[in-house]
Amino acid sequence: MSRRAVNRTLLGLVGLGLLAGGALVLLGGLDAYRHLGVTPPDWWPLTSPDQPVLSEASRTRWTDRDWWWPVAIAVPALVVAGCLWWLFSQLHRGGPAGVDLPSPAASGEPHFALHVRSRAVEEAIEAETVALPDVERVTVKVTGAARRPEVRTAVRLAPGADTGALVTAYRTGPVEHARRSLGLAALPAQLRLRGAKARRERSRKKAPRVQ
Amino acid sequence: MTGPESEREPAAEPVPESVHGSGPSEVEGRRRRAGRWLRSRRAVPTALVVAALLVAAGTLLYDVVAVRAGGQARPWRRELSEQLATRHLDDPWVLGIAGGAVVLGLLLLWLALARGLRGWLALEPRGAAIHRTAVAALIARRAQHRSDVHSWQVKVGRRRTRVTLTGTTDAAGAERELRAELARIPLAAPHRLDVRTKPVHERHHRRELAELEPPR
Repeated sequence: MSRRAVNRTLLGLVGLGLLAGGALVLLGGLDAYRHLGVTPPDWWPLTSPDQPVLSEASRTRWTDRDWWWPVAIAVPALVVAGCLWWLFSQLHRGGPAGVDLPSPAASGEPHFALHVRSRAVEEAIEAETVALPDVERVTVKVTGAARRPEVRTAVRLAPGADTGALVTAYRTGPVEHARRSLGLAALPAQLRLRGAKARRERSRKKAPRVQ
Repeated sequence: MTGPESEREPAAEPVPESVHGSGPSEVEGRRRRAGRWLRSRRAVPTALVVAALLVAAGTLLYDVVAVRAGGQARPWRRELSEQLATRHLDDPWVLGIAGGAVVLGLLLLWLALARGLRGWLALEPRGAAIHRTAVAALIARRAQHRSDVHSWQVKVGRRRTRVTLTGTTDAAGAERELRAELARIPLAAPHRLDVRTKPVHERHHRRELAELEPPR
């Protein structure tokens, strides 16, 4: 699961929990069940506005069971462990230090392990991209993992750029060359185009001076 | 210079146009879904939620373990359980906090489901995207280069671009030119272009007009 999917799932779960809890309390507190004429099932919590949020009895209902204390300790411990795992995986966001090249030798035979620094790949793609027409500035970042690298490129367009031609040229030029020279089967590439700020010179087109 | 290239681009993919005639709704749906890959990673809101969870769960864990090891529960936990046991559901504090939880939950759900990256428009080969300000700059530049346009305003939305031109004498020609400029950008999702033209209010711009067209 990608980091984006993890983040969105986490946000969704926490949001659903907050929404469900708040809605239960609001429905009970505003006595919505009686106003709407709905009778909730017996096990439904928080039905009457006169009941406490969490009574002494319901708080200590399971404290004498065998499973209560292990669960009461394990659940917060799991939450803490998950949060720490998430934080440490986010700290790791710099991308791989280098790219592992697939070995040309068959498995089992002796071979050299080839490794290219990410900075070298980034510089090669930057140099080739900045030479394309309509490109003012390029920043390339290698992401993913060392065995399946990905490329993220941010480009600042020159005014009046031909975007379609640039996207095609980027695909067939720098990325394809990098993929071939690294010997990879695929090199997923992301491209982000920004323009120079639209300068609002209020149409100060001076009429040519006529003698 | 750009002539032959811009000619080649539409010729390279005539398929969408021809398919469009046979099943417009299907192709339209596919094009609407075209930019779905472009989704925000939601790093910042998730970091905030994780920090809050970590603090809450860590404090609770510490206290539960301390009680289990034979210590006393902290004052905050005794206070909290007492408040929960005495305050009823129709207490204003309880209702207010519940309302806040509902709002926060809706916000987090929206963050989890919405696409995000609202500034970016997806481009045709998957993986490329252009910022809305870049589209605005390209269109504004084309409007600026027309000699009859006095001033212009370009607003690029997520599904439509609105251009307001003042002072143009050839509205249809200007619109055709701007449409051609927008068509050069290979946007993945359908994008509308509305061009409005307004006359110049001479009273306010007499000096500028005089510069533009010196008296004969």
